[in-house]
Amino acid sequence: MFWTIVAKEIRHQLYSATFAYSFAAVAVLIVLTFALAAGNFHDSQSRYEAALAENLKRYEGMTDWYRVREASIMLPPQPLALLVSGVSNDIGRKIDVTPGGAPVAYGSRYGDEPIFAVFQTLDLLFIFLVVFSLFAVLLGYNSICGEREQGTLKLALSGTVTRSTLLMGKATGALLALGSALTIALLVGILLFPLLRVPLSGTDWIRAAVICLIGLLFFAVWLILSIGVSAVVRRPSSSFLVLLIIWIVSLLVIPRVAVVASNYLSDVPSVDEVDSRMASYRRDVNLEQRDALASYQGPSTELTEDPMAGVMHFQEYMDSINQIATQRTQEQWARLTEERDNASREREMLALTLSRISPAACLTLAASHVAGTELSLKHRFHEQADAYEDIFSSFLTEKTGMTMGGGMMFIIATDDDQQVEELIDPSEIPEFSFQSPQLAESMTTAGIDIGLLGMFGLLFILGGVVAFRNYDVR
Amino acid sequence: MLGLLLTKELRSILLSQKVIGTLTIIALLMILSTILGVAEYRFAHQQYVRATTLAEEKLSERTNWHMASLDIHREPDPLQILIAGTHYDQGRFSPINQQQAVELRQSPYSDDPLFSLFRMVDFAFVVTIVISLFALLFTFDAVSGERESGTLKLMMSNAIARRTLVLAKGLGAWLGLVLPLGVPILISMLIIVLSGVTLTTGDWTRIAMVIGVGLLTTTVFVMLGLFFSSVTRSSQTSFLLSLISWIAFVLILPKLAIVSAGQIQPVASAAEIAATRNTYSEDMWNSFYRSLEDRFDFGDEGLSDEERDTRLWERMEEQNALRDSIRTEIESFDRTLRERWRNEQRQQQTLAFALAKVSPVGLFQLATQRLSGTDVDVKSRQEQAMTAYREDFLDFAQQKVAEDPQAGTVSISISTESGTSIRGDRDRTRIDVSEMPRYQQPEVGTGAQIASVLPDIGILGLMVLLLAGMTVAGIHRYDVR
Repeated sequence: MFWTIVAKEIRHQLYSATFAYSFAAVAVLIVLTFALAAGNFHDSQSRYEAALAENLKRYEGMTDWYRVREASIMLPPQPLALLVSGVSNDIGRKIDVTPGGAPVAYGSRYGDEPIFAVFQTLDLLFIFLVVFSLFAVLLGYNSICGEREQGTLKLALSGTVTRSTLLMGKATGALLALGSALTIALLVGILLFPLLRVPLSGTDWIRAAVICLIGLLFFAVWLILSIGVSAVVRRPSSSFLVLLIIWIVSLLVIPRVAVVASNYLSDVPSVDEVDSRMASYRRDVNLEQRDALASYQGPSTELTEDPMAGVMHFQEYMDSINQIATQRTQEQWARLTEERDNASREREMLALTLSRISPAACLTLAASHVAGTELSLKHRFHEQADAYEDIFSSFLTEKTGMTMGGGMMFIIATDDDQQVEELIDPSEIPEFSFQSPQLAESMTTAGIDIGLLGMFGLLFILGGVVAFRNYDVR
Repeated sequence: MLGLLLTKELRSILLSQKVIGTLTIIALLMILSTILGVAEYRFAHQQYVRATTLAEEKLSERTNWHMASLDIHREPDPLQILIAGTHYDQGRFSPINQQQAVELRQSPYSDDPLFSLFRMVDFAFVVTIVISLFALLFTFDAVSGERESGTLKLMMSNAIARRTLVLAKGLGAWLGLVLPLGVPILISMLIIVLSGVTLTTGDWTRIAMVIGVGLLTTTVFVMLGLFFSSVTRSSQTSFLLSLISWIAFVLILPKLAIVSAGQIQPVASAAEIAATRNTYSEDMWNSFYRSLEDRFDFGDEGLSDEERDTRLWERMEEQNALRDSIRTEIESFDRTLRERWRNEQRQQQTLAFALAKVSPVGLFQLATQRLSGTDVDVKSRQEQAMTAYREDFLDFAQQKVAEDPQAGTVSISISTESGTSIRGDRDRTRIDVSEMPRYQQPEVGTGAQIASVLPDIGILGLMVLLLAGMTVAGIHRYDVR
C-alpha cells in the first residue's frame, strides 16, 4: 500500500500546474546561475592573469634585486566560489608582501567594485536558500490539509492505510518526484561548466556534487517541514502562512540575530586598535634602531686604508640591527593578530552555534565549507601569505646578501668597471600558489552541518507523524 | 458605491486571520530590523570615533612631519539603520600620505567577515522581500478568487462599473496593507529617537522619502497582483504568475542587470589598475636611480673641500627636485588612470542601473540607497573629498618640514680622516597635530539627494499607472462566469 501511495503522490505532483510553472522557474534559475558563474569565472580569471602579468612587469628594467621591496600576491578565482560565494566577495584578495612587514589583505571585490554589492551576487547558495525553500513550501503546504478540504483525506483513510503510512508515502512520493526533477536541473547546470570551458579538477567535481546534494537535502528538509505543517493545521491558507513565518524566521531572523548577539556577548579588539598598537610598537622599535645607529663606532683605522671596507662594516652593522628589528616587529604582529584572531574565532564559534538553530544557517555553513569559501578563508589566505613572506624574504636575502627589512642601507655605485649591468629576471621571484583545504578536511567540517540538516529532516518527519495521529480528518 | 465596496473590502481584509498573521510578521520584522540597525549603527559610529582618535594619536606620536601619514575614516550615515546599502561593503578609511594614492580600504565586512555571512536585515530587505511578497498574496485572488467562489457574478449583477470594482479592490488591499504598517513604522521611528541617534531635519526628510518610496513600491506589487487576478480565470494560475514575477523582479532582474552590464561593458579590476600604476611608478624610479648612478661621476679631482661641499649640496638639491618631479609625474599618471577607470566604471554603472530599473525592486533599492547615502557612489564621493584633503594635508606637512628640516633626520658622514660619524635626531618632542587641517565629510545635501531620486519615483509612479490601466483593460474583457 505504501508504494501505491508513493506512486499516486509522484503522479499528483508531476501532473500539477503548480509543479509545471514553479519547476520551470526554478530550472531556468539553476541553469542561469551556472551559466553566470561560468561567465564570471572566465572574467575573474582573465582579470587575475592580467593583474599577475602587470605585477611582474613592474620589475622589468630593474638591475638590482635590492629594489624589489615587495611582491603582490592575490587570491586566485575559484569556480566553486562562484557557486557558493560565502565570504569570498567580502574579504581582501590582495596582499603586498614585504620582508618583515605585516601582511594585510585589502581590495575586496565588493569594496573595489561596489556596483556588485548593490544587489549582491546571484549564486547557487542563494537559489538553494530562497528558491528551493519557497518551492518546497509551495508544493507541500496543502499536502494533507488540502486533501482534508477536498474531502479526499477521509476517503484515503477509510481503508486499511495507517496515518503514518499515508504521511510517509506522501512525503516519499513528493521527495522522489521533486527531488528527481531538481536533480535533473542541477545536472544540466553542472554540465554547463565543461561545456563553457570552466576547468574543474577531480576534487572540484566531487565538491560540486556534494554542494548539489546538500542543496537537495535542504530542499527535502523544507518539503518535509511543509508536509508536517500541513498535517498540523486544518486549512491550506493557514498552513502557507505558518510556513511563511517559519521561512522568514529561519532565513532572515535567526542567523542575523545570532551574529549580532555574539557581537554583544564577546569582546573582540577592532582592527584599528590592533593597527594602532602595532604602529606604536613599530615607532618604539624605530627609535631604538636610531639609538643603535647613533652608537655605531666605525673602525677608523680600516677606513683610513680602505673606505669601501668601512662602508661594508657599517652595512653589516645595519644588517644586524635590521634583523633584530624585523624579528621583533614580526613577533609583536604575530602576538597581536593571534590575540585578535583568537577572540574573533571565539565570537565566530558562538555566532555559528547559535545560528545553527536554523536549517538555512546549516546549509550556508555546510555549502561554504565544501566550496572553501567559509569564514576561515580569510585566515587561510593570511596564513599562507605569512608562509610566503618567509620564502620571499629568504629569496631576497639570497639575492641581495642582506636582510631586507625596514632598515637603512647604502646603495653603492662605483665607476670601477664599465660592464653593462644585467637585468634581473622577475620570473625567478617565487610564485604564490594558494592551497584550498583538502577535500577530507572540508567534508569533516561540513559534516556537522550536513548531519544537523539530516537531523532536522528526521525531527520534522517524526513531528509530522505524531501530529497527524491526532489530526481531525473531517 | 465605491465607498461601500471599499469598506467591504477593507473589512474583509482587516478581519481576516491570514492578514492579521501577515501584518504581525511584517510589524515584528520591521521593529526587529530597526533594533538591529540601531545596534549596528551605534557600533559602527563608535568604531568610527575610536578609529579617528587612534589615527590622530598614531600621527601625534611622531617626532617630525617628514613622510607623515594619517588614516582618514568615512563617517557612517544614520540612515543606514534603515537602508544599509553598500555601507558594509565599502572601505572604511584611506591612508593620506605622499606615497599612496587615496583609496578606500578595509570594509567592515572584510575586517569581520562573520557579519557578511548572514547579511543585514533592514527596512529595504523588509520591503523588497517580505512586503512585496505579501502585497501579491493580498491581491492575487482579488478578482479570480471572487469568480471561483461565484460572488463576482452577483456583484456584477448590480449597477457597478467594472473599473469601480477593481478600483475598490486595489484601494482596499492597499489601505489594508499600508494602514497597519503605520504602527510598526512609528514604533521604529520611536526606537531610533529613544536610542539617542542624532537626526537632523534633513535626515527626517530623507527618512520620510525612504518610507514614501517603500509605499510606492508596495503599490506596484499590489497592482501587479490585482492585474494577474484580473486576467486569469483561476486563482491558482494568478498565484503562480504572481510568484514567478516576484522571483523575477525581486531575485533575478536586479542581479542579472549588474552581471550583464559587467559582461557587456567590462571594466579593468582594481588589481589591474594598481599593478599598472605600480609598473609606471617602478619604471620612473628605475630611471631616477639610473640617473643617480650617472651623477656619481663626481669629477671632484682638484677641487678644494669647500668647492666639493658646494658641488655636493647642489647635486643633492638637483636630486631632490628630480625626485619631486617624478613623484608629481607618478601622481598625475595615477590621477589620469583612475579618472579613466572611474569613467569606465560609471558607464558600466549607468548601463547596469538602467537595466535594473526594469524591476520596481531595482528602482526602490537604487533610490533609497541614494537617499540614505549608502549608494554605490560612496566610494568616489569619499575618495574625491579625501584627495582634496590630501593636498591640504601634504602642504601643511611640507610647511612644517620646511620650518624645521633637521627634525627626524639622520646624518651619516664617512670620512677617511675622522671615520664614520652618525648624528641621529635626538629631539624626541612629539609633533603638534592641533593645527593640522581637518577632514570634512562630503555632504551631498538633502535637496540634491531628493532631486536625484525623482526620476526613479516617476518611473515607479508610471508603473503603477500602467498596471492600473492594464488591470482596467483586463477586467473589461473578463468573463465573470
